Amino acid sequence: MIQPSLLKKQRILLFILIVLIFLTIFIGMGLGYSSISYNRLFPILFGQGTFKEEFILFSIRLPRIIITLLAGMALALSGAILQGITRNDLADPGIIGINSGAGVAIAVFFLFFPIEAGSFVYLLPAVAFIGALITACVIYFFSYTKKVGLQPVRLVLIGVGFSTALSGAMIVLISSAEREKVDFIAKWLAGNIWGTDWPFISALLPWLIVLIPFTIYKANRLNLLGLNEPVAIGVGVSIEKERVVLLLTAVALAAAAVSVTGGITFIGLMAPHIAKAFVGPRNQLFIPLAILIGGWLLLFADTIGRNLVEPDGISAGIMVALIGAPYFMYLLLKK
Amino acid sequence: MKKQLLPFMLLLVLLISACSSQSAGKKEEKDAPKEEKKSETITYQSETGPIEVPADPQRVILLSGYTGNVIRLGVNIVGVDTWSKNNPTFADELKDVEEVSDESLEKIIELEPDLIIAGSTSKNIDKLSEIAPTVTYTWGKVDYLTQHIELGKLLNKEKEAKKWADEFKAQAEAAGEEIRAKIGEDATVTVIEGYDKQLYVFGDNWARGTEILYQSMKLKMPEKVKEMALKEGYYTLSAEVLPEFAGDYIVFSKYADADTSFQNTETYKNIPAVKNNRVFEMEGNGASFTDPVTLEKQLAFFKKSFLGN
Amino acid sequence: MKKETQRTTPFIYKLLAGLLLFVGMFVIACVFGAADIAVKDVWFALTSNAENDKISVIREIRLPREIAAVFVGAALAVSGAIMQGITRNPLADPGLLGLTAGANAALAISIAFIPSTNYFGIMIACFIGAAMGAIMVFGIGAMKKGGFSPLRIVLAGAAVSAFLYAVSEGIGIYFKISKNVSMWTAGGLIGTSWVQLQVIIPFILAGIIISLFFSRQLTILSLNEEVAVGLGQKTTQVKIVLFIVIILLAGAAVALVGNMVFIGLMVPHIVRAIVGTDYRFIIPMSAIIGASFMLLADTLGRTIHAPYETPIVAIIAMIGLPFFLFIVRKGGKAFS
Repeated sequence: MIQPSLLKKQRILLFILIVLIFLTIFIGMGLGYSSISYNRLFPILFGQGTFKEEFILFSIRLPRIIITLLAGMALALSGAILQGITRNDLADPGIIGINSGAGVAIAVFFLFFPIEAGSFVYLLPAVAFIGALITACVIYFFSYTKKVGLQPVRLVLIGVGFSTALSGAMIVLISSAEREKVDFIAKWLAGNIWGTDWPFISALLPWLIVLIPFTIYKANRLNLLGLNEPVAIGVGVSIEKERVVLLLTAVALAAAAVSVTGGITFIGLMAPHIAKAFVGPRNQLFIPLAILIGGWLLLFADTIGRNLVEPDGISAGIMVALIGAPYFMYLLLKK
Repeated sequence: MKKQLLPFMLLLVLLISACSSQSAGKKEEKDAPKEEKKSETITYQSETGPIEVPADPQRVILLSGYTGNVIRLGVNIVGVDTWSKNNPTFADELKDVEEVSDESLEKIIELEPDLIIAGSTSKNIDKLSEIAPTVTYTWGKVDYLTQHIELGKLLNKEKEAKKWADEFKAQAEAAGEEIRAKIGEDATVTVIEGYDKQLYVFGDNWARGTEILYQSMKLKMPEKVKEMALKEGYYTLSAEVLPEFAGDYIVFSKYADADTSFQNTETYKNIPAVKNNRVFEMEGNGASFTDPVTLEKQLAFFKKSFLGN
Repeated sequence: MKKETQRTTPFIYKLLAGLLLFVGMFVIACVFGAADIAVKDVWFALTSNAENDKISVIREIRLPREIAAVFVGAALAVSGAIMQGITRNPLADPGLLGLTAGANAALAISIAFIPSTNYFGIMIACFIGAAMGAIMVFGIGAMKKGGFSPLRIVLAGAAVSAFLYAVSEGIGIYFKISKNVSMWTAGGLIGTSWVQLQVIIPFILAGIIISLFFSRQLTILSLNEEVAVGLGQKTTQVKIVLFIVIILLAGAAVALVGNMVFIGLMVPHIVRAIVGTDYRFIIPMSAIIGASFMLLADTLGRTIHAPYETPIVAIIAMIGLPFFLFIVRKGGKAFS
């Protein structure tokens, strides 16, 4: 049974977050190199702006805002699932090697395939997605044993090992490349929001539309998986199957997000934790909250980051790590 | 009906592009002035197809080099990429020019450009084309003089560009004659660069003056360099084998902040070119450009270094 | 007492075998490389004053970097061994535990704010940074009872590293010095000169010697903290000394070659399989094996793609992964 008071608290928090997100979007729309005064925003939105104003808002700022929001949501959800199935509060799609897998795939693709001006931009996310998926499968393969099935702790440790080794592989790839190309890859790795255009939004959105309801539908199973295994089996959950399905969901979400945003860590870790701190560990309660928190955090980090340095801003990935890592350390201290 | 027409259309497009790449030069020379008066735009045959560009661009943004070319053609620049901005060669010309990148769209739109020149790998090309006509070039697709003439066509200054290219070629060849007369027909030259902790040697089309030295001046490169670097354009090597790659003369493109500790070793000092004081050090920062401004600077440098005047 | 002698006698043989391997590796490292060199030349370079091109190549380019490889390998292996000892954690490694990232961040900060820093200054910065990184990771680990659990330490290490890397990247972008920073952190052993070695080797030697003196205490500490206290050991002081040693060794190694993971993790494990759990044996053996391993990796890096140099960092990371997987799978239960 869920306590009504807790449910009420969750509703209020959800409402506050939605307001917060809209507020940040509103502020973000007015911030940037070109100044658009806030009282012009609504006329522009309703189609009464000049070409320049409309271009800045619809082609530059809005896509970026929406992409960061969606990516943050996807990463947060992915983190929440991973923490559930590994029974480990510290799991995060970045920490277990999905980012570095995508990174290596990008580097290989960028260095060894001929680049065509038009299609190139749209191929990159696909490549990153495949890279992340393969890495996740390999990590899963190594942490799975016939006798005991998937070992959560092992999953995390092997993930860390793989991230390190893949970063090494990346150095080999980069070191033999031309400097101009290296610049590009380095930027991608740092989590510089890459896919800031409407097509990328339509590539990311379907994942969320399908997988958010799916996860919330599975929330009860996640609760059981989060208990210890004998209990879960006792209740009749076929652990291995559920785990694989949920793991795939998490990987797909993270890979889809990372493929358009570049390497971003910590969102998937922080958002579920903050949510749990508010409404407790029940999955159906905290997951919706975590999704909104994740979206808002990434949006917030990018809004600050892109206005910080001329001309390109500081990557969202770096901003998130700067905000997120201290919080993570605080968590480790508190636990 | 439409489907049947398609192959013919394609063929036609092919034919047109084939013709235009050969004869576009002549044609445009005749057509351009007329068009200019009428609509103030000209049609430029870019790599990606014909594109309408202003006949007399006033505010150009460069996202992928070609800065020196545009400066020499006397066209006003309002924004350049980071590499150009940091190039000491252009320090004076670009003093008041903004630094932009293919991601700083807002800054670009604020600069109100009427022409954008980008690289084929630049991001946001479709958005840039909404701001202003955007022309892309694939880096290294054509040689450095052709590139300048291409830019001349784009900026409606083909004559000036051609004139410069011919003059420069003649100058460089003349200097080459003199140098070869002085150092001998068979004397070899190696171009190296120290960047970070790595050492590179270059072929005949990889900036750092290689185009001038090898293509125009027709100086010889050592066999080993020919073997390893000519095809790829550049080759990374270890300081251990530098003596094998060293020609009778060495042009050393040197970055002030790179690790050049190998210069203090006996191995380096024992290279004949070093012993005989035949190493010419040039500023590495900016040497990777192949535009008229840089090339003239490099030509002057080589004349001074090899001929002593 | 009897047991002691039984174990020491074979250890001398093992040590000798290790030394032999090391010398062999050293010669191989000197012989193979971009320029063709015969064993004879190496011999002359080391023993005589003879001069020719090849000999000076060896003396000036190859010898300094091989010596750097030796000391860096030894330093990383020993610091890894000590870390695994005091944290009783088989996954401890200077690269995984935030030392390297700390050194990177310090490097970026010093290049950004004190642009005229010389080599010595950069080394000091690396030391301070490594110390900060390690203090953060260990601090998080030590705050709680039973905090040195493998998972916690690894995650704390990952978090601290991510934070510090973000700091150095952020500074790099903000001050437009990424290029200079990466030159220090990703350069590997290329272009090591005698001057650099003169600055760094004393630190590493001092670190290894101190650690040898404290190896006995470390053995006891590695078994059980209560026992150590019961035997009258001042555990806090011993830990502090060993901690300083780790920072000295890892800091110096990072200052010389930049980021380097896995060496400190792997070598002590290999060594333990040979000489057992006594740190009086583990430390000297780790130094020798670490040095040999580094020489091997460097030789591979120089020859695989000669004369282009494959960065040693990458070679080690790739050799290291299978090993890491092996440890995790083998000791699976111990980590839960």
